[in-house]
Amino acid sequence: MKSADWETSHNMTQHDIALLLADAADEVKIGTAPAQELIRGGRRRKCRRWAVVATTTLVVAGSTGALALTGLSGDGDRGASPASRPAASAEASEPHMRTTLASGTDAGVPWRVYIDVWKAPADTAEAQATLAAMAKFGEHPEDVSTASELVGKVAHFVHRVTGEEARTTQIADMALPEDDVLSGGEYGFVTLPLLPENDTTPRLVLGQVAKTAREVTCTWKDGTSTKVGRASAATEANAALPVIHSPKHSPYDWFACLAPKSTEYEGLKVTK
Amino acid sequence: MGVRKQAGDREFQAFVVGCWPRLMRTAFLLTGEQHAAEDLVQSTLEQVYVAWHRVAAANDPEAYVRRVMINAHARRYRRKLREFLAPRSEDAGLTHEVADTGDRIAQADDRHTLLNALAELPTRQREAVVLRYWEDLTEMQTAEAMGCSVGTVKSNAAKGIAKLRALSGLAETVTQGGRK
Repeated sequence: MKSADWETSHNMTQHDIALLLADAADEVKIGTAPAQELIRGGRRRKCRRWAVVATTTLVVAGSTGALALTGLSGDGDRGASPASRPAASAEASEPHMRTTLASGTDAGVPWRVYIDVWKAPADTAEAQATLAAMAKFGEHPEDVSTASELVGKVAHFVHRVTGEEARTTQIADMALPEDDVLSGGEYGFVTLPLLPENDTTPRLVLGQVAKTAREVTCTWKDGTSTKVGRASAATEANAALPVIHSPKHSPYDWFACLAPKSTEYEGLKVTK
Repeated sequence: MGVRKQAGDREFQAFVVGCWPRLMRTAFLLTGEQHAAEDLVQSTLEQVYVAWHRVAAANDPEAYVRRVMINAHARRYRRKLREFLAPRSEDAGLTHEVADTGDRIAQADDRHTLLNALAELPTRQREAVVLRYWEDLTEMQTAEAMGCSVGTVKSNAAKGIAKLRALSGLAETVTQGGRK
């Protein structure tokens, strides 16, 4: 048991530590709060919130996942699950929360980038159901540990599928408030190699833009550029042309495009 | 920019202006260095901006901000280890520029001693001491900020205080009842 003397001395010590801390804290130069700079920094941070997990290779069994997903559509409807198809199959057959952002063939290797967007749950029960549904596709938001943390957040998972064997790698994971919109020329992006192995050239660009953006221009190190616009007759006619997509429930619009074989990413801008 | 977003920015700006001095002082005690303190506070507030709608709606926005800052501090410590914490001799906050009287020299010495002593503490002990005795948080509030139990806060604060007391120079000041 502590003596009264010890207590007195102990409390005095803590009191004095508090005084010394206050004295030491006064040494710092406070300056003016750089509010505008912080807002700009915050916006940049918001735009680049990519939790890239490219090292995590998932073998997503699209058919298993789609069949296992019972009774949880993007609208919260309770209905039949989408038909079973391989992960790299056509968009028309994809699960309700999936959108193909871009696809093509590069040096004979088929590739595809798709995004799964999970509607923000309204309450914890709905969040639990959403997490369970995600799990059937091998997905779980990295920064969500309990169901309640997902309430009000839209979860996004971006996957890259490459090769004849449809090797699927999750390349981004983010859970965002549903009203976390971008505006004007704001954007976020990440660049990475197309192939998960033996490829270090950042040719693949994934981006987020405001829903009002009409065109994004990716510039490449060889001086060429690729314009990514909205769907049109031209893009309908040529599936290789990249397009800005509006996945249901996401506060952002999304795109993916690939640099030509001999070059790599240099810059990005919302041009319209 | 939307009306809602503009209003959010105005709220955030007012919040930043209000909490900046205190956050700077806390960050200075945590890091022991002027530029590191600025960097920590700026990084913290940028993160807060990203989640501003959630922070503004919270019962205690300042508690949220403290939690963000303590997390950011812990991450930086892990990354840079003690290099980050060592007070730099050229740092304005640690020099004795105003030592125009014997008493002020002694006061500056105490500050220097305390900041060096703080820098010697393990991160969690330093956080517990700063939050409990500078921020004047309760053990519960400190536990929330550090993301740990009240017991862990008690343990870290007690060990931190004991180490600070054990340091020569500081101990003398403390046992004499402190500088008034």
